[in-house]
Amino acid sequence: MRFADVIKTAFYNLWRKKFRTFLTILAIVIGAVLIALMTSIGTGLQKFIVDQFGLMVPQDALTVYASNRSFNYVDTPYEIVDTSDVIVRSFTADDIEKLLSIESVERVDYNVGVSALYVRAEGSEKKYSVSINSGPDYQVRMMTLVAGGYFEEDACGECLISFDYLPAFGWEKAEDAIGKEVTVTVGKYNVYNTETANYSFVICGVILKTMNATQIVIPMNDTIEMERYYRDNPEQYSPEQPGTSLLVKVRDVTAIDSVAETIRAEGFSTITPAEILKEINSIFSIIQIGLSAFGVIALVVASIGIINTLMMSIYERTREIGVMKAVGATRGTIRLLFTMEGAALGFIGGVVGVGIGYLCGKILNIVGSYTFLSDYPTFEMSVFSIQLVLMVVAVTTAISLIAGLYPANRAAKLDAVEALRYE
Amino acid sequence: MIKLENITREYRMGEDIVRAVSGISLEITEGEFVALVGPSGSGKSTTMHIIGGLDTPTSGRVIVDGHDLSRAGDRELSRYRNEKIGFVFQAFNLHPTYTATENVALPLIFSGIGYSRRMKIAAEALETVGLSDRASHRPNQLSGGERQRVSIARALVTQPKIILADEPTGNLDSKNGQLVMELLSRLNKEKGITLIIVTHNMEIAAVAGRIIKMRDGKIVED
Repeated sequence: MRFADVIKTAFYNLWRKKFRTFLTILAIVIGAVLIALMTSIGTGLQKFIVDQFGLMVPQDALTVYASNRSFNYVDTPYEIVDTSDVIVRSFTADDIEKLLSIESVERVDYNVGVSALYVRAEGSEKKYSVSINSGPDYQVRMMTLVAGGYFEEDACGECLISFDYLPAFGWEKAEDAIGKEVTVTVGKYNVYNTETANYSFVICGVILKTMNATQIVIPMNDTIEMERYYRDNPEQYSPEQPGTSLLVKVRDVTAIDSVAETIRAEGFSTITPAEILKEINSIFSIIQIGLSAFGVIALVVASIGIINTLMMSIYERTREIGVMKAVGATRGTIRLLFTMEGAALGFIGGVVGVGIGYLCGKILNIVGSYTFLSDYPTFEMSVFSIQLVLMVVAVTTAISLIAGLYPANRAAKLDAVEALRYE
Repeated sequence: MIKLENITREYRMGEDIVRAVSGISLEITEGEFVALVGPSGSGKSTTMHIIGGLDTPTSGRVIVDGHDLSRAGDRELSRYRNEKIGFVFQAFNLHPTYTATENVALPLIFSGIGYSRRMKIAAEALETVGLSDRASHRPNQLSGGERQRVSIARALVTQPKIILADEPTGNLDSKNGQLVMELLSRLNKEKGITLIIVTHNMEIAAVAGRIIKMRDGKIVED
């Protein structure tokens, strides 16, 4: 029997019992919609996170840690053989020289940071939460500004603020913020010391809305000064005390892996942006599998429907099967015909399901863009790819085909003489 | 051409073993018109199914055209049924949603012949049985006699050497029954097709050149 005839016969037989076929397919469609939509939302989220990661993390720089320590979560005491395993190592001036001497390394910076108490805008006593960010020029300039410009690397007393501060500070437009002054208050590391200090900054730029809604980006010089005050340590971030982590920038992004290798060989630890991205992607793969599990459960339920439909069909068509055998159909042909009917149910269900899932995703994106996602114009909640479409159709077809195997085998094994006598 | 050697066919019915055919031997030459007659349960249908490759004997040998069917597997038997045998059933067994032509063309699907050629060959077979004007009718739009002629066309369509008809007039009135018998004997005479008819109607059997009487799974008269 020709394969084209097998397909044609399978579809023809499904068409004969339209309503029953429709109901069976409906169950598959529900599963397919769930898989398609859930996976597309997973992809959308993943794309959003990865994009944000790309916006925030320079691809040609590494954060290097002095110690190689990893934390072991164990519930029984274990013996520490080497104390260097537990002592947090810090960098020295020599280490910095060592890092700078690595080929392709362009510059090494302190990985500065400070924790502030709150921020106020000029002319207001209202205090707002704040996270202070800082870094070398190449990091700061990765941020997209909606108004103003960046400060120079060696500047003092200038800052960039998150878009979300605008309504809090009562400024209508991003441009209104430029030139205004904000004051950041820093406390002490030692909580028994209640002393605070104020540091004022003139806003020179407003950052495009990102996930980090409460950040104020200030020059490194200011951060170092504030952190020294916070820690009561005038040596913090100096060649004597560079800290436990450093930022290493490479000249050429293609050299990053080899630089990371060299750094690790020196006994430091680091992770490349590509490695972080890989981690993020693998986490999302797991999330996507979890999300699509609902759809798979629905499909398993649907496959019971397929078995039922095909079994009914075999009882109704027993005589027909007998005739087919009498005129020359082999057991294999009968098996193939019924397996194909199962697969055809899955194929139609998959195609329709992906179509509906796609429409639902589009609607979600449109609704989202006017409501909860209006601040993120580039974020699409549901992202469909050709691979997703093919994957869903392949999964529904494969599950249905497998469901069809048992009934198909029953049909194939029918005794021709008894089938012809069947009333 | 057809040679049955000491054929026995046993069925298991719950605890009991029923012997439908009990050690029969028989030879039928090419172009013969044979009627297998006997009361129900005499084993005539089982004998026919064994000759047609729908059933295999418990013991004994079936040799058709030099091929031993008793040892053939499913593929070989299916091919044998498709190429060498045409079945005509009492209840016609037509596909209710297929047209007459599509019903006739059914065996050709399993021969692997493409759609347009199938339809052409099927139309010719319908012409042989005089039903060209009913080609696009479905079974429920045809009379009993017409339905049986469609089923004869289906049996003919692969140009088989043997036609096996199980009570072909059983569901027809006498006039239509006669027409069907005339058609079958014409095919036997003109095309030289070996024709084996199972019937309990002696009037029908009388048309045949050879009558084999069966009772209790044995041949009692040949």
